[in-house]
Parts: sequence; C-alpha cells; structure tokens
Amino acid sequence: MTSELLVVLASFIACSVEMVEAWTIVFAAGRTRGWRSAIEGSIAAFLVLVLIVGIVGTSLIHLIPIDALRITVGALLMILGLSWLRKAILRSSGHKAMHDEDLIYEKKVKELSGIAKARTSAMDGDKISVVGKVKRIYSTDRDSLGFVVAFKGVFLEGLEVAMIVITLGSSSHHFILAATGALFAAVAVTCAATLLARQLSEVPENKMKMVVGILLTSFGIFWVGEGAKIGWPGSDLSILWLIALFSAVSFIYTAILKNMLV
Amino acid sequence: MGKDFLSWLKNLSLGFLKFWYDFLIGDTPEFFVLTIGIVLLVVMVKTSSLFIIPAVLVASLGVLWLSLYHARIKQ
Repeated sequence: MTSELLVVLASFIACSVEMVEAWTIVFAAGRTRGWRSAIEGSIAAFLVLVLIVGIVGTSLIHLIPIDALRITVGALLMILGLSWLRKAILRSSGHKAMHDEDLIYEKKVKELSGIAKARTSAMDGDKISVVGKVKRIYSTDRDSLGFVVAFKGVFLEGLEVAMIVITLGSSSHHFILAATGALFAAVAVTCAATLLARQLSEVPENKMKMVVGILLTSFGIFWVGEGAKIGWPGSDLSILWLIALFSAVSFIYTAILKNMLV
Repeated sequence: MGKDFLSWLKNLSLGFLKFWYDFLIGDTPEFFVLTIGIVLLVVMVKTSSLFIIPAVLVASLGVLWLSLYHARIKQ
C-alpha cells in the first residue's frame, strides 16, 4: 500500500513540475500567436505522449522479464532522480539560479513577438497595428508557429514525465496508478492555470523537484536491488527508510553548500 | 519527396539519439558511471546484502556530494 501511494505521489509531483513549465510556454504562445493554435498544439503533444506511454509501457511489462526490467528501470530512475536532486540542492543552496517562470515567459513572448513582427513587416511593409495583433490572438485561424511552439513545449517537458510514468509503473507493476497520478497533475495544473489566467510562477517548483528527486533515487536503488534479488531489510517498507535517508542527506548537503557560499 | 523524407528521418534519428544522450549523460556523466557501476556490482555480487546495501548507499551519496562540490567550484 505504501509503495503504491508513493508511486502515485512521485508521478503526480513530477508531472505537476513539468506541467507548470510547459504551461508557461503554451501561455506565451497563446498570448502572442493565438489561443486556437496553442491549445491544438498542446492537445496534439499530449495525445502523442499518451500514445508513447501506452505503447512503450504495456509492451515493456509484457515482453521483458520482471527482474531485468527492474534493474534497467531502477538504473534509469537513479540517473534521473540524482540529477533532479543535484539541481534542486544547488538551487536551494544558492549555487544555481532558481527556475523563474516569469522570466521564461517574458523571453518567450519577446522571441515570438519578434518573429511575428519580422513576418508582418515582410508581408505588409512595416504596417503593424494593434488591431492586427488583437485580431490574430482572438482569430480562429491556425498559426503554424504557435502550434509548433506549444507542441514542442508540452512534448519536451512531458517526455521526462512519460519516462517517469513508464519506469515507475512498469517496475512496480502499478502502471495505471502511475499514469493516473500524472493525469491528475495535468488536469489540476491546467485547471489552476486556466482559472488564474496566467503562468504559475508561485508554485514551489524547486521544493517539488527535490521531493521527486528523493523519491526517484530511492525507488531506483530499491528496484535495482529487487531485480538483483537483494534482501532489503523490511522488504517493501525499506523504500521509506531510503526516502528518509536521502531526505536527511539532501538537507545536510544543502546546509553545507549554503555555508560554503558565505 | 524522397530527399525530404530522408532528411526528416535523419533529423528524427538525431533527435532521438540526442534525447537519450541528454537523458542518460547530459551534464552529469558521473551519475551514469555510478549507476552502471552499481548495476554491475549488484548483479555480479549477489551474496551478501549486508555488504551491498551500505556500499550502494555510500557510493550514491558520495558521488552526489562530489558532483555538487564540483558544480560549486564551477560557479
């Protein structure tokens, strides 16, 4: 029961973090290139990701022997978890700049507006009116740039979540649970962003990233051991002490690095 | 048409390889080496969990610290 809950929690938080980042790009594309293309691009990317998770996830479970799968998947989770944890500790201790959604949004808007300006100038001989911009944003016409930017944003941010859902789900044989956790996060973040009508810069992304890093690393080490038939003390419950150990060490590492900054 | 398709296929393959390179190695090759080492260790030495578990944990936490310390120096 504990490991099932942790699988859902890990995929939920990981998906929330990546969805916040994806939403910033979609929001910038929608504001500058029109909402229709941005929404269509996002939905298309989401469907491709669901297809990848469905095909790869189910075939992994059915085709690869469970022990080999657990070792491979555990190794992937360890690599992913440790790199998330490293980034989160460096950010918490002040050695790396925090992920700033507002800044990313402004950059993206500037970039997309610049392309739009250049295109309109070439077409209309430098006549860019505010009415024209407003028309484009609220028009029902498709904009290929808006579509591609939103598609790439959602697809690239979502690919990591897809990997997490596939690896967590297939190693624990709780594929549906892992996918449900991610789906809940996708719906929750989309609802929150739509209701607030802006990018979600207040979400404590770094803390969430640290939690996911700790969970993935602990799961990774646990599954590698399970695949190699190591007898973990406390069986499935050893995930809990692994999480406690990595949490404590992350806290200590952050404190030491903070002190080094002074 | 054939040339376009080949170029698209080439870009797709390169993108696929780049994704896996970034995912597995990227700017932290130490974690990749660590994971391969741990996998080899647990697969080859199955005998005593009393020895393997502490070794795996010390290796992971040690490499994580070295990676953090190195990143700190680079700042």
